[in-house]
Amino acid sequence: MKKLTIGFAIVAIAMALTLGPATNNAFAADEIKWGVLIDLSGPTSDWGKNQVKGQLDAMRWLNERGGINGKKLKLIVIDDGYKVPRGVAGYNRLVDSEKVLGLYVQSTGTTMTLIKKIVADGVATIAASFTSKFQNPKKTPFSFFVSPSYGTMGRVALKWIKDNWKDKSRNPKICYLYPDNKYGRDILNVCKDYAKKIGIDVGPDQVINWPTKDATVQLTNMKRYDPDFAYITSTAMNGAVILKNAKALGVRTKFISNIRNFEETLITLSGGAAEGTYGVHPIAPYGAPVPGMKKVVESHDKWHPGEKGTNVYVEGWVNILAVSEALKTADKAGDLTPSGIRNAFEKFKGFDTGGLAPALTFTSTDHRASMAAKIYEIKGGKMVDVSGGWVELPRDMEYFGK
Amino acid sequence: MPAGLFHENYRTDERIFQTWFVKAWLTAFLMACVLFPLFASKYMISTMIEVGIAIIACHGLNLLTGFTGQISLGHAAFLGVGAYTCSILIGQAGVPFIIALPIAGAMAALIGMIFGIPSLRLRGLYLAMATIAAQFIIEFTIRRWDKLTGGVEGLYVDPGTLGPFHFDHHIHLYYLTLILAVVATMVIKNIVRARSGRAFVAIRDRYLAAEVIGVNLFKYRLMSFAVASFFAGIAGALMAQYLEVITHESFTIHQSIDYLAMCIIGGLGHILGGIYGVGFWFILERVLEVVTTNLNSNFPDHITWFVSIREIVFGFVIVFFLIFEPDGLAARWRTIRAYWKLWPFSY
Repeated sequence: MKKLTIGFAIVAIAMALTLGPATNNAFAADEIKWGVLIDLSGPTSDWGKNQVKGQLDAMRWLNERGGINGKKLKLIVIDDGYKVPRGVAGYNRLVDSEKVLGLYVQSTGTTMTLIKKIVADGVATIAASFTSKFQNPKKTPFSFFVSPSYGTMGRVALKWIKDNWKDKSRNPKICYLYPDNKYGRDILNVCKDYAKKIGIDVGPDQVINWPTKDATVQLTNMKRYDPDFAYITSTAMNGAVILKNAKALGVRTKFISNIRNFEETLITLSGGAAEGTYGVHPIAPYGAPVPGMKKVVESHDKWHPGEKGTNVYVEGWVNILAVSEALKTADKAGDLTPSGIRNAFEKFKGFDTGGLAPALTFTSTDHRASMAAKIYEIKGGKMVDVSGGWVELPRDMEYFGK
Repeated sequence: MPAGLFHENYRTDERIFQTWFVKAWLTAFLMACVLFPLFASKYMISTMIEVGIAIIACHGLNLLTGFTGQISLGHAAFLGVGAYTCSILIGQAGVPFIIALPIAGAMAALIGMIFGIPSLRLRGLYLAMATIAAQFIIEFTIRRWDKLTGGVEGLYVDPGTLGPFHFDHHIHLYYLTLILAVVATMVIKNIVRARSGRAFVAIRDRYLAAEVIGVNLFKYRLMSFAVASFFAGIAGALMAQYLEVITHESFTIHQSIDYLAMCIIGGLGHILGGIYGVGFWFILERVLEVVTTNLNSNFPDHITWFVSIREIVFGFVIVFFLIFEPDGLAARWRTIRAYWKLWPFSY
């Protein structure tokens, strides 16, 4: 019988916990709710934690300075563990129950699954998945993201390779290393086509799946072709294994990491193997000498003393700065609704984050935030800008939405 | 209420609803389910759709693992088979939903039988390994058969229609799921009561003895796989309707393990186990989510702690169940019912 009493007690506590917060859901007029659907406990949780840290700090910084025209911004963070069913459930809760005005979605799988619902519900979303498929407003009218697409960044890397290629007797050679999923395959068609156009030879693809334990076989295969460059699409945790294996094999190829691979953890995890490798990135590294960085570093020092700032943290700031700008515009227009926020985003014209990211521009027919990124090299454990400013591509329609 | 139940023949012993009280209670419960969308929010309804789908899937897995004793770690993959079959039939072949739904179940059953063939030779953990193979092979097929499944890009699901009902509308889908979940429960209950159900239990308890008394092991093991996968296929087709876009990431091994955990919590080998397990799982998951989200919003500095709390509590509850309730919630429910039946004159 005692067990039963304990059982009832547990149920009672659970009920109290559910009903307690439920009554707090009354809508406060001076509060703007924005959802964050992010992985804090799954395979990409390291990344997610830094991202959400940046977003929450930016929110606090913003609220201390008057918020959204006097209204407080409130981020509602839901952990989806990088699982699609949990992501969908979290989305339903944010949109149907919390009535958020918009949300940030991290996982590519969840974003893909939700794409129809997002259009039907008309909720503005900021994606962490920078696939160009989300840039055509005809197909995804409510999707935005603050960076150039993966494909554009891949092309930026190719342009930089070609521009700095000294040996005129032959074309530079490149190989693509990627996991066999949507994210990994996203850039292939666009980049290979562009490489052919500007005169870069593309070698055989090397598929390196997650979780990466060993990439020796693929790297040995790649070595046969002996490319000058290899472009890694991965995440820092998995990419570090590739770089370590490459160092052990003595590969002469220069590696270029994409945005999700190129972060501070890559340097620590690879134990020195990342030294001398490159990365293409639109977001300024933490502590970079740009005007917008001062508030970021100050906030980080104030709220997380002793912790290490990362470029993912800065990306979190850029996301919230962009969101707050859209919210302010929508609020001024008196249209603080999901569709109002979409219109506000589409009014962005060279929105400057103080150099944290290239200036953001959205129009009603083109959701490409920017077309520029920088190339960094890891020197002495630091990310050093080697492209000397933005490497920019023309905003033409050739690869739009591909 | 009767003072006790006295069965005088097998017919009354095997009756599903033994007293008028059970019937009344069940009718009230079903009425509540039917009336639920009238007062529930959209979020609550979509949660209940997920619950209904999980119940159908868990009934299948419970039949396979709980009644026939064959551990399967590939159940979500069979959901995937059903989901893709139904969606492709509707979208690319223009088959009406009402026909595509049973075909989805049948296709999943067929694939399930193919992967069930090793069950003649393999048991226990070895069979679990073989079903993991099913999980990976099916996932890989979905990922690579681009032309048919859309590959890694995912597949847009056309909403199924049935007369005036369009299942992209959440209330319509809710009623479809409710009906199918009730039907699934009745079907599984009757399978278990019948000859085949007794054969399943005999195989689970001692396969050698079962064979000696004339149970065709291969036939019934395969049948168990087929029925379980059929349920999974139906659940998958509903899942596709619910998600609207399906990718291989919706049907991973994590999902398979979750289904197994739901069955264990609810009680393997009990019909009600699937329902209790799913109910408990979703309540716990959503309660923990609400609690952690509220903590996150109120204490943004310690966001990473609370996320860990959620995972720890979840793991703790499962361990707690395995230790204190090895027979699951269904067994606990029986104990409670037995206690109250005699109350206040228990001794």
